[in-house]
Amino acid sequence: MKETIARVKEIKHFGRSYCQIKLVIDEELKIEPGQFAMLKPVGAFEPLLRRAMAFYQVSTIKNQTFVDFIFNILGRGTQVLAQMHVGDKVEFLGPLGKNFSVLPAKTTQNAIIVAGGVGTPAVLMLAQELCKEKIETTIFLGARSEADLVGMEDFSQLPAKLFIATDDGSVGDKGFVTNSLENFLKQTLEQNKPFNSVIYTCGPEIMMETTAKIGLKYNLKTYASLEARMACGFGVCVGCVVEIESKQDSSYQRVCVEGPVFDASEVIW
Amino acid sequence: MSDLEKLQPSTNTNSLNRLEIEIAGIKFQNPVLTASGTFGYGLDFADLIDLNRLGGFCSKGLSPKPMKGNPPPRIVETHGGMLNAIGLQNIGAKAFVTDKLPQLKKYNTKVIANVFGYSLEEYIEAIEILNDGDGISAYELNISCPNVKQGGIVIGNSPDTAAEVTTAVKQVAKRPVIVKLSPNVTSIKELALAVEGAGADALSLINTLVGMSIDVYSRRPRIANVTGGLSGPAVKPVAVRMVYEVAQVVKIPIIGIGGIANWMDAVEFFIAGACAIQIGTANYYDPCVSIKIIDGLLSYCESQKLSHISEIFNSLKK
Repeated sequence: MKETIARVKEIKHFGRSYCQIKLVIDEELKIEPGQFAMLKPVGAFEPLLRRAMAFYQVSTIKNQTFVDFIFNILGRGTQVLAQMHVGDKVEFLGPLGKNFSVLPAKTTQNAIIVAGGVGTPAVLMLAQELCKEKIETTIFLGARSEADLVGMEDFSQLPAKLFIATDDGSVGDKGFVTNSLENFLKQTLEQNKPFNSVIYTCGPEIMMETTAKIGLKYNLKTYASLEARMACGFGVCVGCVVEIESKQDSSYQRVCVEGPVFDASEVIW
Repeated sequence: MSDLEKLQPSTNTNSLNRLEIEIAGIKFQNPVLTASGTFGYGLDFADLIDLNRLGGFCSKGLSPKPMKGNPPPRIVETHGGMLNAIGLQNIGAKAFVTDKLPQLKKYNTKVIANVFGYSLEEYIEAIEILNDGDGISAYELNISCPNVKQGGIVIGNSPDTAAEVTTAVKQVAKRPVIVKLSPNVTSIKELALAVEGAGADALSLINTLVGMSIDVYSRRPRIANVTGGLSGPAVKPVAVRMVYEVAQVVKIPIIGIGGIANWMDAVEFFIAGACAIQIGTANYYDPCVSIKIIDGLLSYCESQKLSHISEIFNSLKK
């Protein structure tokens, strides 16, 4: 966790209302897939709180770290970030949170990623790492329409099977990405039993909940990266909690510290 | 360049003495503390700031037993502030004593244990557990909780019940007791006087203002608890006014809290009558703010030729 000032290296707008920013930090940071940072333009009085953003891509060159984020411009926080220019300074706290681990997939040698909407950027680094580990990876990406698909150029370059689903059918299967997932699992199980894999998911809550149910149904370990409103991002406000089941009772756990990645079977949706 | 940026951190080590203060017999190296609920149990900030430079911090509110807290969503940002209804989720007084205090020992900063309860008995139980803890300088009582035995009336909303809790806690507490006042009252002066009369060693004010925010499309409250506590820069004028009013009537020290985000905010509270301040919400969006404020105060002393920060305490000119 590092509190520092980053600078905007590149910023571009695309699709319906999406923004991609590349920041440069003057030191080497070790950042894992699924981790996030808290961001706010330097000197911005409104909004007050920094915004949590999952890392999309990270590279380190000569004592500098370049980090990319993709986000949907929705409210005041994302608006001020989207209005920045190259060279502008950004308050940066990160990397934060528990990352996606590829270890469970190393055992199964097979992994499935299910991502939707603005949850998609949070899984690119995971997909890259799974592929680097030579784990057979299948990626399901969902969006409302073609204009809402993010990161396609990067995902399609990976040595992984890629399935697309859109609500309006403008590209890929028409319907929810979880339908495509279930069809895939049915066919795969018919063809080659036994089949074992690990599911990683990030996206709208209903999509992750459905994915978690499918995971339970097919007895596949599922990890979900959750989103929550955060004030601090490093555990002190206890505002971003999610209810997690344990042996005796349930407890509220912080998405920013104990998460954002949770065992989906323990999440009380 | 704004006034906020003009001042450079003071490098004169002798000047550090200019910020030393004493409250209820406790010496603080400076008057900059952090507010309960915004600083975890202190250790959460060890990687972000040098805790040895901080005057002190107030722990997250502690109850006799661990508390689960409220269902989410618990927070929402509003203009110039935020609403929260965390529900006082905490590890319990025992775990604070056994797990956190030993780790805090190595830091040269004052630990204030914030305590709350839903009945008199709970306050006393928590204090008795904490009395055995090593490394606590003072207690701060959160009296903004509903009393379950009195039909859910908020203890700190009435001078009588506030005084009752203060008296009971003072009888068992082995350390000075700071009472944190709720601003959700008709007369903050009456409340302050009642608590002072009951033996409080110091006052801290203000706690959050009860507020509400509604999503106009779903027509649901934006936080699950429906209402929440408003904090952040938006509440500062209310807090400064209340500190000023209370400073006119009490003799015990006042710790100012409410929307402090920079050294100028802190100075406002000193002029209004506080002799120390607590930083709350700003810790969330500017984790190093406390250190920046200490540096800012040192520079202010130098630029204003103050031999000690106390020269501006309660110094409002009319």
